[in-house]
Amino acid sequence: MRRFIFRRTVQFVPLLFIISLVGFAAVRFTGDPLAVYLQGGRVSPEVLAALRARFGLDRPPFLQYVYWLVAFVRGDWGVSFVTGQGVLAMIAQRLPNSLVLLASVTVTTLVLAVPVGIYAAVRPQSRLANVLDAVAFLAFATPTFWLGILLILLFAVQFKAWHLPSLPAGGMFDTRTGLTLGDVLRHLILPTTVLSVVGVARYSRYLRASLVEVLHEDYIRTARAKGLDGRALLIRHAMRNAAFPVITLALLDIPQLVSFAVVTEQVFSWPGVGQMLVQHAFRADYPLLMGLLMATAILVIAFNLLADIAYAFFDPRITYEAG
Amino acid sequence: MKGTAAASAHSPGGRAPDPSAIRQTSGAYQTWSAKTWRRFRHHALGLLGLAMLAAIVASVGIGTAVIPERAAFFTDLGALRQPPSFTHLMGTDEVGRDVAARLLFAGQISLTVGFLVAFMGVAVGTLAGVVAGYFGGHLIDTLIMRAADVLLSIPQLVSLICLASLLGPGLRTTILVIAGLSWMEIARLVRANVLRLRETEFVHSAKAVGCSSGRLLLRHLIPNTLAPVTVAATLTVGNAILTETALSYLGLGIQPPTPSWGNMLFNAQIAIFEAPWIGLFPGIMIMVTVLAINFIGEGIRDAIDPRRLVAPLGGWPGQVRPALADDSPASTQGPYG
Repeated sequence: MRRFIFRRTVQFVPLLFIISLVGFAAVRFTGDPLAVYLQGGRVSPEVLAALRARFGLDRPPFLQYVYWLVAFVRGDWGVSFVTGQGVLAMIAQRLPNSLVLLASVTVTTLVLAVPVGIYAAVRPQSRLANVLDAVAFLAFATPTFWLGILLILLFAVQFKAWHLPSLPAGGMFDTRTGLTLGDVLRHLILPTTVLSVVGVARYSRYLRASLVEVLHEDYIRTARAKGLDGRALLIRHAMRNAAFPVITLALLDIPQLVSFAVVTEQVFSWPGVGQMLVQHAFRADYPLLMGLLMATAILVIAFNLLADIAYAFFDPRITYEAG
Repeated sequence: MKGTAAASAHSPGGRAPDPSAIRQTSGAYQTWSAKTWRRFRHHALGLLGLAMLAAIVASVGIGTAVIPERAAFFTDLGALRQPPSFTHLMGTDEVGRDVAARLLFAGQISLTVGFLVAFMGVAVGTLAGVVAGYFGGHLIDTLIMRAADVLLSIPQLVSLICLASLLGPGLRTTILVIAGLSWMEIARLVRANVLRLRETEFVHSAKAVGCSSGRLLLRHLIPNTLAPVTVAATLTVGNAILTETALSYLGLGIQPPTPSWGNMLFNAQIAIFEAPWIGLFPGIMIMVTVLAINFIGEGIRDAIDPRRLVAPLGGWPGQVRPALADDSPASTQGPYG
């Protein structure tokens, strides 16, 4: 097992290299970083040349990449053009907030998707299953941020106007009460709901398909013939085998949640990594963009690795040597 | 004449059967596409989606032809954030533009972007997938699949935002960038299908008869992969519209004053307290359009492989189990089956 983990980790390193290469090339070759100084004509060519030498831009591009790579591996991710702070420090400051949001969304999604999926698999023709299916269709078609805006309108604005207990319209915690758990949870409700809607629709469908497949297997028929039925059958036999593809898919999808989270963080002003990405993208803050690109790539690869390990762990038919 | 041809075909030592006679006597012969279309025609959800999409396209087309384009850009500074009335059917937005007219012209742009992006993505993806699948195992296959892996490793919106920031926001960037990131799924699907088809008997027999690679690709492999690609292509259109919307909402897509459903929502959030209609109508349009497209996709999927429909728990004999992923390749039937 350890050899398997080691081999898979090693296989992912070249992928990171290629991503960093692609990102670096995209940043360097889509325009001169010092172009802003060329406008206006007030900067003399000697000063420009000195600037180039100072920033190392007169070196050959491949050497620039090597210098960047060495610094990156040592933990120096550069300095933001906009705030002047270290990129790694900025990301590290905001990343926990995003992770809190992602964790709450994942937990809520799985907790809600499991009963819905089981019900749809066990009673496929019932009215409730059909209604849930229709709702799932709606969920897939709704733009996430629009749903967020509507929920803010209803729960934050209208409830307040109707003198009902209302939910906050944005932010992570109230500056007056400070960073308390209850306050953060209150602020988490709306963003989590918005992000969970699509997730529940998707995972309940996965679980339904997986469970339907498993329930047709011979060993389930045997267990039923032996008298086992209902909840015991579901949990002890069916769910174990049906759940593991869903779990691996869920692990693989978590980094893709980052995409959804970017927009949601913007809607709810959640102080996470996604909001920072959008704000700094406007200002062409290239070191930060590169840093965020690498951070998300690392996240994706880490969860891919987790999914692979979970897959090998759950299914003993997969040999560890298969890689 | 028909009868005698059939009779002589069955008797030993009879003449060779006349092909046209066989076609007539063996009952109704329908091509695969005719059968699929027939199944689609009876699929309620697919037809509903088609009707909805047709209504949207028609209203956008007629609306943009009838209403002058000026109406979507004209800012009436004396009528900011007016609620819906008889003069402005959906109210006015934060700079005084008529929301309804803007919605129609935004529809033109958003729909065009969606279909164009999907078309480009599907074309590139099919080409890449066919090449990778046909030369499966060789260098070109590895290269294409590694490129797809790299692009898939980065969350889509993150790379979209980075690219939009680097290339500058706007219509052209949006189309290129979204298309450039939607070819991978189709390429994977096509590659898997081509790899499977390569080993089938009809391809082997075609090769044995001396069929050239090009002819093999064009006449045999590509038509048989069209089925799952059609479903994936339909879903790509919906995805493209949603992605363009999100990008424009963040301010990195289509820039105002060019209208798009996404950037109509851009400023809607600030005005949500006093003028909720600004954000309500574009969102409804997006939802209805993507819903229609998803319905059509469901209809096509079920028309291609009716065995996919969920069965009662007992199942029926010889039933094919539904695959886990919703975009599984279609049945082994092709245009000849």
